[in-house]
Amino acid sequence: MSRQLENTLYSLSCDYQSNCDPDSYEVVVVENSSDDCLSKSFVSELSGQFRYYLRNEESSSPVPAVNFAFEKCRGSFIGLIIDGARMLSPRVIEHALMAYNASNNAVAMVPGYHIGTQEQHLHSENYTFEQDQQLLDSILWQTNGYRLFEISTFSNGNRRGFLQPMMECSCVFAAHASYEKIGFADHRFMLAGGGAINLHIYRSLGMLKDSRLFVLAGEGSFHQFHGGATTSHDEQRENLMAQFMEQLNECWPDGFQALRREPILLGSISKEANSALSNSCEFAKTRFERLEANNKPIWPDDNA
Amino acid sequence: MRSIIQRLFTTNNVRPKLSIVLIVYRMPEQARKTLYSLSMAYQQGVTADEYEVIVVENSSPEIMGDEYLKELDGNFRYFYREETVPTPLPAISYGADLCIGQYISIMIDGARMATPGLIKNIIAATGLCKMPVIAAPGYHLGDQLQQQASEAGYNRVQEQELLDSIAWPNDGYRLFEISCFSGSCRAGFFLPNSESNCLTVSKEVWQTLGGIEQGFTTTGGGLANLDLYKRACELPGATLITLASEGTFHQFHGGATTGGKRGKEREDLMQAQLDQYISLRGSPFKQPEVNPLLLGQFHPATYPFLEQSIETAKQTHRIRTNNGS
Repeated sequence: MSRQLENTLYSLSCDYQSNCDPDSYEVVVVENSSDDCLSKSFVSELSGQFRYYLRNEESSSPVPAVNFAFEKCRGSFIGLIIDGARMLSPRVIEHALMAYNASNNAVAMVPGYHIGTQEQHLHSENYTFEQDQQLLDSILWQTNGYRLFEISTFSNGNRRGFLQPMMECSCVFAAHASYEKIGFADHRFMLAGGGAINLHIYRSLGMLKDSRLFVLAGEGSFHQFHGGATTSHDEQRENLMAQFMEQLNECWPDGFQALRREPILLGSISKEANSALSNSCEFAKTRFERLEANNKPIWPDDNA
Repeated sequence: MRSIIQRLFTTNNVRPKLSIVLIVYRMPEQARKTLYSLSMAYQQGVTADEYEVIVVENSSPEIMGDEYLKELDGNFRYFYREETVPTPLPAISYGADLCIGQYISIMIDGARMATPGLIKNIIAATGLCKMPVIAAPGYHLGDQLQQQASEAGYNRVQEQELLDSIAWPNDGYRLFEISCFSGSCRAGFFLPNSESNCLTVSKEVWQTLGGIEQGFTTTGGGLANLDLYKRACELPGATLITLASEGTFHQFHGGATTGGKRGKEREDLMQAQLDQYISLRGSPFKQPEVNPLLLGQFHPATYPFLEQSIETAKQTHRIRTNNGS
């Protein structure tokens, strides 16, 4: 996914991220070898502290690469983006660091979006990255990254917005100590694409006793089409998803659930992100009315 | 006095993070509710040694006194002052001088009850950035602004019925169910407002600002609170943080601009306040042009205000786009 990765890395660079000191963060890029690797010169030309590692990986899971990356990180607060095709909005770093300033136990999650008018696995089999790229070109995202909201839709992991439980986070920040407590990336997740490792990590971090869940409401991670294991149109997708969920449920004896912990919203809402917030509010109202009618708690994981 | 208390706190190593200055004048019943809403019995997720409340009461025919404070759980200190001017501004300066917290919250009007997460979230916000200016939005109890409602007969009896209808203080967030945005906060959560009736800055910022402007001499302090908010927001390096899911809720008490004066008398007072602002600052008051940072957990009772805020922001952006700004 070299083209997609270039966009993602630019979105992490100091030229794009706003209001943060270049010395306050580093980006550790771990690439598993493939026939479409990033050009080495690209990373060296980015502004910011980037370190690039190319690994030979025999499995089709990113989990070994994730744990390799954890070993390389020098920061005490770590943002994990398992899928290199996820571009960020411009104040992710600033607001993630704010969450960490507020609490050492912060779990700062960036809501996920898919570029396009629907989730990418729903596109026809003829959909291509070039079509994504045309959308990106149409908004000149490098000059105003918030316009990514204009061409995107919620990802499946948070398809009802960010004011209710979310299944997954494709860009999550937590203290190194918190990752250590959950055993970093669980080595059992060796299915294609790591299976449901993302869901497992997010819920594991969120369920740590003292975790404080911050949702960076005005920011987003935006998935570019790249033929990923679960984000492409594929007749085998349902079978694959079933395998993923089976493995996930084995890890959670009571069955896997979205993280039902009350989120603390943190961020600045740009005009482009207004609709995402508005939709989140609509979904949250519906959920609240349903739970209230059934006399059920809204955030049961807060007391788990 | 200040040095003795400061020594006491430092000896115990529990200097509070936050000092709240609350001004009371001729509103004993309302102030008691406000004080309860600031007590440990009501506030959630905070410990008693994290904050203190300094109550400054100006002399009036209706004195609250300090008896009620003895019943409350928390660090309350009470000061009674003989006051000859019709403004709370000297009382604010007096209270601010007594603060020993690292941060100071100004509640200019003792009739403003708080939500249960107010103090917890103020303290959380202090850690977000170098120079936070933390604002809790303001609301009026009732479905319309009290200066309008009072014209139609709104009074303390009706207000108590409203509070009883939500079984206050059992769940303080239900205050949202019986309230509307204050006029100065009608821009909502995502745009700058004109003031906050619970504004928090560090002691250093308070000193940099020179405290609250004492030149506002009209009844009730005129636009001093708006001026304080604006000056704080516009300090270089400051970040306005709006505690969107918390708030202060104004109880009817016959305040200078919130129902105590009506019709022409109120209009004249408002005009005098606006004129005085111009004479002090050289131009009419205009809300600060800053982009607020949002912090908070959204209780379901806040959803209507969230929707309203989104809609207001959308309309404002549309207007700006149409105007090419």
